[in-house]
Amino acid sequence: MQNGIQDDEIVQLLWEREEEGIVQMQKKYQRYCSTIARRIVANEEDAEECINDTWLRAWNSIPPHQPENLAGYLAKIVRNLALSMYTKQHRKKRRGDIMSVALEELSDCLSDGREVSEEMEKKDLTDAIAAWLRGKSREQQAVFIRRYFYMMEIRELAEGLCMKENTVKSILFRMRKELKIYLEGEGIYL
Amino acid sequence: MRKDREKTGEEILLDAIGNLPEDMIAKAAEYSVFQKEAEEQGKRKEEGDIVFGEEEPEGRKAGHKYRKIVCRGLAAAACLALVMIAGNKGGELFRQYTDRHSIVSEKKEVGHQNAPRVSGGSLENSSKEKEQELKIWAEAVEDGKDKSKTKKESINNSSSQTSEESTDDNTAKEGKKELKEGVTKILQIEEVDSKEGEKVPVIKLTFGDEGGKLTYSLYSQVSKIISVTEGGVTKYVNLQDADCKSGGIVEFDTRRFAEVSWAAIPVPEWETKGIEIQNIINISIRQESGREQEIGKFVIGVKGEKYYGVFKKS
Repeated sequence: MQNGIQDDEIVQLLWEREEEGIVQMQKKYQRYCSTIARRIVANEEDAEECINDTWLRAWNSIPPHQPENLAGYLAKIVRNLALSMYTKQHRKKRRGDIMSVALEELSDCLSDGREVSEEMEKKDLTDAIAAWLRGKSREQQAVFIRRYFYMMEIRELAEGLCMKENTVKSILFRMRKELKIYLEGEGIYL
Repeated sequence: MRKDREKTGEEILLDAIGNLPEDMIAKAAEYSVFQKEAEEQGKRKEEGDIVFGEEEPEGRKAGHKYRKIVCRGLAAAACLALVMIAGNKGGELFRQYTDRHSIVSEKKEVGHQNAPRVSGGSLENSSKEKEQELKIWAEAVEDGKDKSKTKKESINNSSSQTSEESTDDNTAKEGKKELKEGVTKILQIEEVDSKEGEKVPVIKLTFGDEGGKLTYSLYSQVSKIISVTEGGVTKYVNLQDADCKSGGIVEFDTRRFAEVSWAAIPVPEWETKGIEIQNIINISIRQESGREQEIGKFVIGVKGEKYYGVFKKS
């Protein structure tokens, strides 16, 4: 990070319950978090609400948590908040936006003809996906996570990684198929 | 049934992806084409390029086992033959031979010491290249009329350097202003004709001293590089990446704005000034070995109608 204050200093301030920690966190990660939120919830006010909730959650969760990677920690909070908001708003009807397209794409990873294992621990699934991703190149990891975590558009993703859009699409297509096979191999059927 | 649970399955997956490890998430956001190149270099090395001074992979070691035995046998036979020749033709001849042989060995030793040692695909004696300071000049940063005005408007970084300090003594070239590391300057926009004949608002930057031997690799993260001019010859590039030799003038398109999110804010001091990032240009030096070494970023920002630029070292 090139900002003046280091992440561990921010975390330390939060641990000491210093409000300056929030100020510094906002200063450093406002844009980063708002980009993530705005990709998922189109409405400006909703995005703002997600971001404000992110600071609050970070404040409430540090301590006891001591994130080793503050950027990733905040990204997870804001992304999951925005996702919940999106789900609430679009429970009945999906639009052709980035979220619904991403969800549609992820259906490639689902298994046919089996019941969803409700008792399956969410953590097991996350661990399996993380293990599978760790076996991929850094580039493949970046493509997959930028698409399905950061919800980046294909065009944006291709430009950011200096690739053709079709290359990105085919990487994602192959990865989704591989993930499905991997998860089934791990006994995880979705 | 399938439709009912399809939604659930997708959402479960999306939720699970949302809980991936934080380091993985942050690294994915920070991944750049430079890391991609480094990764590819590493892969090439793994696939077979053995670099001097490095141990060979196990598989290859085994492959060379028999060749080593044969070589050793041949060497032993050659030594035996030499001893026999020496014995037959007298000590003088043997001495002459061994003297010559030792000279050759010595020369080889010296040669080996003088030869650049290669490690990890890079030349260790490329420290000269590493020590090279990159100088960047902005074309038409300030013309005569606007000079005083621009000086006042120059925005400094969080350091205590004043804008007057940032502008003096750096008019290294006529009509160009040197952009010192960490100091934000106002850039001027010029309209140029693209290859297609359309008018494109560009920022012109000059990389390195004219006549220098370095080659810079540039990657414009957001908008395209319209052209590169070297030695008075302009070539149209119109791509996001381009090479330019020292003294090369590069035109960057300013029509597109950044939509990507940077986990690391490249110019935190701009946040409070309300300057939006328009583009980030990654700069690396292409070394003789072909390896690229990232040396910094040039960040272009915009506020209202004004464009700003700052060079940040890696």
